[in-house]
Amino acid sequence: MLSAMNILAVGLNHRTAPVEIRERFAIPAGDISALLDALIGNGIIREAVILSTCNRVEVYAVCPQAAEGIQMIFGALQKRSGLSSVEKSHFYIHEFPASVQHLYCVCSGLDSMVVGETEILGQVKEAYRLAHAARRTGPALNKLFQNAFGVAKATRSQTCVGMGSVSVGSVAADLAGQIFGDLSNRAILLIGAGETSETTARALQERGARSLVVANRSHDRAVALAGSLGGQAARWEEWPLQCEKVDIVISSTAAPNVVVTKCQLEEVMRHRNGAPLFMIDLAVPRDIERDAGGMEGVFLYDIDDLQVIADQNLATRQKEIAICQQIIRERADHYQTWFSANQARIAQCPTARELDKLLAQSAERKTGLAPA
Amino acid sequence: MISLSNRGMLWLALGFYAASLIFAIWRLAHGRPHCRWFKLGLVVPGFLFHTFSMWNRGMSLGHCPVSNLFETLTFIAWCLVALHLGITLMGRLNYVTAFYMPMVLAVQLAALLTPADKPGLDQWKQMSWLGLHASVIILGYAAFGLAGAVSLMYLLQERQLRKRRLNLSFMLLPPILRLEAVQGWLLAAGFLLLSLGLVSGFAGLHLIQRNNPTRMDPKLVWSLAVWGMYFILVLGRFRWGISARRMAWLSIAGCLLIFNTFWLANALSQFHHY
Repeated sequence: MLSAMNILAVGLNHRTAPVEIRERFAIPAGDISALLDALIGNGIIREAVILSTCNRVEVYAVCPQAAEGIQMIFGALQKRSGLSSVEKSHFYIHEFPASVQHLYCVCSGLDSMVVGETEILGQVKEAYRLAHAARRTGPALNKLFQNAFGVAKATRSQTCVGMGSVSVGSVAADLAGQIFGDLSNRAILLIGAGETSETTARALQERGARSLVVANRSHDRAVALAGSLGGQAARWEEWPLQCEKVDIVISSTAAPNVVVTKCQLEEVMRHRNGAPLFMIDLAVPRDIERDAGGMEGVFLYDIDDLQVIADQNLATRQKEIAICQQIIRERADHYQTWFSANQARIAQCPTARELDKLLAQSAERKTGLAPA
Repeated sequence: MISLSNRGMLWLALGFYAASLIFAIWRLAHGRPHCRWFKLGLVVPGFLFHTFSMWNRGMSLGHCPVSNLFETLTFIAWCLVALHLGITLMGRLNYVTAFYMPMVLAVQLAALLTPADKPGLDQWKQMSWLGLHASVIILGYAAFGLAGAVSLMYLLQERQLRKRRLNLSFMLLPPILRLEAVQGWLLAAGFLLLSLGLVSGFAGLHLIQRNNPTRMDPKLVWSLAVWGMYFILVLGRFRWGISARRMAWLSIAGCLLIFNTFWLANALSQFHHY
């Protein structure tokens, strides 16, 4: 008689293990295939997917006996980490159906350090692709992961869990998007060469902004930063002229007084033919005269404004978690019904190990039949 | 099988439009991402009922159904929805429904509440060019209406950016530069259509009054005033570089003026009196 199949999710993440533990268990992409082979090798585990990111290492496995499967996974992880014993308190173990809900939560970004982040979905897709390419997945995990990607899409389209950035740089990029839409033809001017302005400029470049100019009192520093950002350096006294040509200004000098006055900006705006100017003042004390924000066509934000928006967005994301969980529960119920109804079929499918054997035998036969 | 009268179909269309408005406002207020296909699922059936009703009426009259106030308002509402669908399908303006559909509902409701659904003027049967004249002008008014709604969205976005009150609803609306661009296109398109309609109207008037002394009709004066107003707006937008915020206010004012005085001009007009 065929025993009932179980789906396991065994792993650790940023909540259960400190970074010094996580880094011991992190698995580079190149080693995943070998670890999958080790897991599948003795036939206890029929299907497996390994997810390894900077914040989590997880093994998803299908096996008939949960206890044996868990032991197998811990054994493989321990061997891989080089530790004499695995501290199990750092790990979580989810059995079916909790494992299904867990994967759905991971894909939706609910289990991430920054709730709602989207990077994890790409990482799960890559983990699944690797396992699928190595023929380490079968009907249970294929269906589960495809469903998980659908759940992630549903939570993003039906809720606001992924909306609104939660870091200052990304908020600035969001705001630029709300003003200009497509940033691909937009130019940026950095006044000063502070670290925060560099991060913000990178966030804008990731959204498509191409052209970048750096104006700094120390021209050498401007050249260096422009080089690292793929832009151009300008002399400090040229910033008003550059301001007339760009769409976004990021200012973060260490000057004790205002650097950009309203009078100077009025002159700049006269030469812009009504084109809007998005100004981000990241300096403390502030570089740009506050009253300049009232000018027509000027949208001025300082570091506190951006931080308030980031905090609001984070709070909104937290509120959306309950709606996401409802979606996840419903979708997990669907999968549970399917999995329960297809236990026999899943159990009868040849395991990855059996498939390997069949393929090896077939290759041997071909070699044997082949003319010398 | 249930058979619906033309008015019944228009009421049904109104119901669908109202549902799409409620849906859009609900999603926007709750910060839900734009759901174009679900919204279209509400507007398209309404539009089909609307179109079928007008088609029926046009076939029974033998000309474009714009010969009395009821028909004209119905046609204006139809043009407004057609433009809305076009913009929605292009995917350029999220949540325009929430700002635009109230205007559609107001016009459609005004049409349905028009007491006298009486036949139009006799000359419609003899002069086919009148259909073209009226429909082109009405399409132009619809473009001005949509430009007004887009301007309202622009002002709201701009205000939110200035006040730094950036909630999720703000993030769901289109970027202000896109709103500004679409507003410009709509003003230009509306002005072009209005100009074409007026030229065809003048040509028609010349035919009608060939043997009569020329008189200035109040509707004609009103239309010329609207044309002049939008001529200045288009110049301001594309030539004089009037700021986007002022253009938005002017566009809304122009739109309100048209939709509030349209009936009065018709009532005073001899040629357009229904």
